Amino acid sequence: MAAQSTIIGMNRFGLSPLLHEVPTIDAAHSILMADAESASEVALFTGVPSTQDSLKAMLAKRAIARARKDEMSSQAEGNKAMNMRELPAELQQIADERLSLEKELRFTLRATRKQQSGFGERLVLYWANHFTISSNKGKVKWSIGPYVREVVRPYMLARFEQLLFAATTHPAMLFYLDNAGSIGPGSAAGKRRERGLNENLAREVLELHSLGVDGGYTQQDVTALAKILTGWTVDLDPRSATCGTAIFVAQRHEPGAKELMGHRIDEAGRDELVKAIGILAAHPSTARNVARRLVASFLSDSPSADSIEAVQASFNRTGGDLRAVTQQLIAIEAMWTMPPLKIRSPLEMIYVTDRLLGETPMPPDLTVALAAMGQPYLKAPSPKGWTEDNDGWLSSDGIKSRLDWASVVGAKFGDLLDTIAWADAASSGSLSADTADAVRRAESKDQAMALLLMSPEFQRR
Amino acid sequence: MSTKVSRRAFLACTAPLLVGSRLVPAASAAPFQEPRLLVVNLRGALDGLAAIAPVGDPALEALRASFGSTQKLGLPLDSFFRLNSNLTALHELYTAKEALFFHAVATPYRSRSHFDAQIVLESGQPAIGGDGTGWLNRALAATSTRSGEWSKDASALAVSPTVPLILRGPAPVENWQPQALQPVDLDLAARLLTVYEARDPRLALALRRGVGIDAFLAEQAPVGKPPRVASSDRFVTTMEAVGKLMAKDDGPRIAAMTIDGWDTHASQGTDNGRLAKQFRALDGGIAALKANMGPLWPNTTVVIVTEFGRTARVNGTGGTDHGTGGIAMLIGGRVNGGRVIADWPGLSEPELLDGRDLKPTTDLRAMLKGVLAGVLGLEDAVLARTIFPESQAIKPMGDLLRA
Repeated sequence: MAAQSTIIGMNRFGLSPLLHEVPTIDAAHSILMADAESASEVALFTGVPSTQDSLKAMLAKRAIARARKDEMSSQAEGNKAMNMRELPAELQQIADERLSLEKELRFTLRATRKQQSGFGERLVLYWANHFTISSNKGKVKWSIGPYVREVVRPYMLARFEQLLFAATTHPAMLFYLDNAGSIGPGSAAGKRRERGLNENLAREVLELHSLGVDGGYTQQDVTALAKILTGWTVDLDPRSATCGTAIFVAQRHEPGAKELMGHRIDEAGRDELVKAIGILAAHPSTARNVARRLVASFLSDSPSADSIEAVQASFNRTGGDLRAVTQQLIAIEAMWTMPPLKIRSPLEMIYVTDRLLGETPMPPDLTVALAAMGQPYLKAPSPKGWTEDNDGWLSSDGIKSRLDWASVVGAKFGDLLDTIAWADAASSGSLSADTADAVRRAESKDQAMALLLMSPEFQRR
Repeated sequence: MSTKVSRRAFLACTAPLLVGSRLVPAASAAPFQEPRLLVVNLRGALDGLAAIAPVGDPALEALRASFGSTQKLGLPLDSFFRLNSNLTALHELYTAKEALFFHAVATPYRSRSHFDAQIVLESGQPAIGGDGTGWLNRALAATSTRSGEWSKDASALAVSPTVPLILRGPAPVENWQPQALQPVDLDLAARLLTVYEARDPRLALALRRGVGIDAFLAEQAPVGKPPRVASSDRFVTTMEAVGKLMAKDDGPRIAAMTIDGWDTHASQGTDNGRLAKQFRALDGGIAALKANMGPLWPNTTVVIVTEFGRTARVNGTGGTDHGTGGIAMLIGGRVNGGRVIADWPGLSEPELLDGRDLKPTTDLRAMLKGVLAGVLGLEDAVLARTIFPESQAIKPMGDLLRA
């Protein structure tokens, strides 16, 4: 039945099982793509600190802390040292220029409400996970928020090559995977300092971001890419005009030609990476890896070969045009016919709830709630990111913790139950009779709201 | 898990409240105390016949046979009624004439939906609708505009994450809740499990494991052993804290709180199971409140209400379904207690409402009006027009409180 497939597809790609009007399949496709375009609009985020602002803030804060410490210790020793008052006046103001993670998330939620289906945000979540950065180190913490806004959003519908390059060279990534300190042993700086190559970023670019673990690269390719990446670091000189941005430092770059995946790359400084990214983006394994991950993330752990091949072919045909790839993704028939399989992550549940209520579901603070549910915000345990398995979030503790959270949401927002036309959704087929009955028969509206959020229709997509 | 009151929340609660402003004549022996009024809402529709069993009614035995004999169990109240054996502290208060019980009462609402009934109960309106305010807030607002009797800036306390309907309105209200994340409500989990078992076996399995729900569902304690209420039970510790708050000189005069979990559709466990455990929590909470109110107990009134009663007969799953007539309670040192007030309609087939429910013979608003008249000094006209709109025909009950 056409209506039923639309409900399935819109839930699979979106942020709600409740459809109050059921569009035709064609209209549904248009809505999804419009939402994807909307999410990539960076104009949504004007007035919010950039990577550069945030890193400058970090430096300013550290300067202030250092000056304080110096003042205290020099007072203790009776020496003259840098006076706090000698710091530039704007330093404190600059130091405050970062959005906390809590604010980042709330900002994002507000922007998401503009999308009819929320598919755009689902894509952002997907690509941010594909190119995972985790807020584990001091410097990463300061640049991770702007990363999603400056890399994922603008490029998620552009050519994959552009997205790969932007992700690889963003300051947050250079810090996270230790490339900022990687130095070519044969470079001027390398010879001086006896510091060397760090292969972390190169390995993850090959294993996770582009070719995939069985994409056919060797250790030599990892080393070659690591050499190509040397010199790419972040400018942390507060006096420099490019402070807080990614820069290429020639003295750290490993000289000589490199061979990557059978291609020879002549020595060419920063342009080597441009060429390398081009090679990787065009490699057939990349099309396959991207297609497989993308389809699996939206459909099921083991999708049919047909679905993957359709997306892969679209990638190859268009040279990695992610807009075309996305259109192909949503055109896969199984997406509109297979019943929902994948448990929504805690972060998705926050998005879903925010959309349902039209209000941000607090207390507790969102970052506190996410930590309690096992998905601390922007703190994935490894570069592989968060699980995308069907039942990845289905541990007994996972269900219990989200039940706790749904209870709290119910207690605070139970009254909104009337304004959410869930009963219409029940009659249009979005909600099963079992769920609708349970909601209707609840002891209180608080309990009803919690049951709705925890229902299978809300939990799986 | 112990309840922690955050200092900030505690202070936030008490800071803006003013000390009572009534002038005390110099010759008065006792220091002036403003009365304390706490409304406890038992949400989910408490089974009145299980709380206070009309053992004098010959029809009761057959209706409730599968719950076990009601004649032998229960604490005697008078020649007709017995109190559920798990409500021992309440029984002591009854004996000390500090508890007054009401039976066969109901609001004017008749359609048996929790959501709508709760709205009618809390709004004080004769039916669904209204302006989004609650009777308790309107009562406080009406009192504050009178001179002399009540400190003009007194505010009320809502013991919940948001302000419930009963306390919404023009008068100022503070929120306070002991814990940020409460432990999971097993009734919620049980209802969710029903949905999962019908539609999603893997979610059902994860839920069973995660919440330890089987213990809750199996739930019949060994015969003869009453289910214990853990000393860290959430309601008891909340009531301890509420008692301490309300006993302060500058504490709230009016408060409202809710206990969930009364919607016993299956395996009711009246004497020795799920409902019994609820009763013991309520009982322990009232005892904790009294202990912590200290010298203010003689001037305290606790109103216990629920949105409706339950079916007279036991249903097919060992529980009861939504009904109409039920009970209410007044408890406190201020209460003129030691009685059960009921115009008993009878439980025989023709006497039941719609052939299924205890018929209500008294409008709950009559009792509430009597309480507000006695505690807050509100007049009949105000009660009939503003506090409980369109209730001119409902006369406030007298003699509910000591002078």
